[in-house]
Amino acid sequence: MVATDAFTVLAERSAAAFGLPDVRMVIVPHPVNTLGAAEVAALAKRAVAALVPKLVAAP
Amino acid sequence: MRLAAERFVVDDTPEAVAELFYRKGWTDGLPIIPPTPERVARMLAGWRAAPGHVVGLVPPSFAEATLEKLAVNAVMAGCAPEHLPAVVAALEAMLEPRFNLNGIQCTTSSTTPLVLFNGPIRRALAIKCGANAFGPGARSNAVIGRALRLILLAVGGAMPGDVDKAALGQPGKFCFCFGENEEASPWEPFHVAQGLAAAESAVTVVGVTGSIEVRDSDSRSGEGVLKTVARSMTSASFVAASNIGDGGQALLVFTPEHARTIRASGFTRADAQAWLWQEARMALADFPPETAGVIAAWQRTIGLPADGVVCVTKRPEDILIVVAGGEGTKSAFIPTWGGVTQVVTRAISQTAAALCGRD
Repeated sequence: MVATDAFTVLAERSAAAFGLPDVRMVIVPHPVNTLGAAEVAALAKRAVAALVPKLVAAP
Repeated sequence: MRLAAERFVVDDTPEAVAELFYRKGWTDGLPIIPPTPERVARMLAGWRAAPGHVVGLVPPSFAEATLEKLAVNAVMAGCAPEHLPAVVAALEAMLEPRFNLNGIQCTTSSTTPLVLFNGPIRRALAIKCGANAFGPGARSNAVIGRALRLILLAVGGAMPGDVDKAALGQPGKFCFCFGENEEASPWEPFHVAQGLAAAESAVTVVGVTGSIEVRDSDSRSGEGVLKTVARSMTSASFVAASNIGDGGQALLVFTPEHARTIRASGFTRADAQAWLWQEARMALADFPPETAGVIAAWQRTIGLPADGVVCVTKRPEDILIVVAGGEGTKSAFIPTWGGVTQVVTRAISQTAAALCGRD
């Protein structure tokens, strides 16, 4: 799961509500809404770099 | 009656009870009626279903909304037992997937469920439909609306700040509950327009973001009043956010004087919707360039003409019309959260409220 830091608590509560309390999560800085395309691309690149190790890690 | 709720012992003072419930995060900040086992049992007397009967799962916690939990919150809000079926029915309407209660509970938008009653239940519970229908002073409007908010907080877990991420919120999040003034309306009741029988009691929920007064004391024709309404609807914020591609809706609450003026010019409800849909449009040139680009992209996606104009809704029927209030030429435009929520109208006889044995 990818969420912005302003939504960390909501993301954790939602994951727990759906029975996935240990879901692998990457937190990115808030806000995303107001970023330009290049900034979004850079943020996505950093998020992917953090996400891949979590996806391939042993459960 | 066997109740499952955890019990707390607290000093027998209003202040101590209010403090305990506030600290637990179970209130809207206002004092509550203590939900003692005796009061909860009285609230549930006459129900054919057991206190553990599950009405639904309330997001975002997706905790079980048992009749007992709903009764506890109804007691806290000041409800009498006769109010509980209305609370249960309204909650059940909110739990229909197309209403998207999970989104409404968590979004940064100020959206909140508006609760509208139609049919005989309005008279049975003395739900205010006339003057100051949105305002204070009518117990049923206040306690039903408040009970629902307490349920959304305590059962749904929408704690403001952490989970309910509303940037500003709105006063309607405390309570937004009223009845249609069917007796003063020149049109069929709203629930009839939604396909139900006039004799049915019905509840409608709409995910709304506020209330904007539409004042027109000058127009003497229906077209005049509707033009003022149309111009009031075409705000850049609402049109930009209405997600026309998804069928975002708009709610208009006409006061009886405005409704009669419109009807006297020959407009049925459907005629008024069609007229408004033609008139309530904005030029893309009136938007900031980024927003205009987003709207134009939407229009291309759903096959609308690229004529530089955007409608306030995708279809005329997405402009919902209700009549309420008292004397005065002041109606209301009530924007919704856009295409991510849809109005839900339910016959109360078709909800869990029918499990109540009361007449």
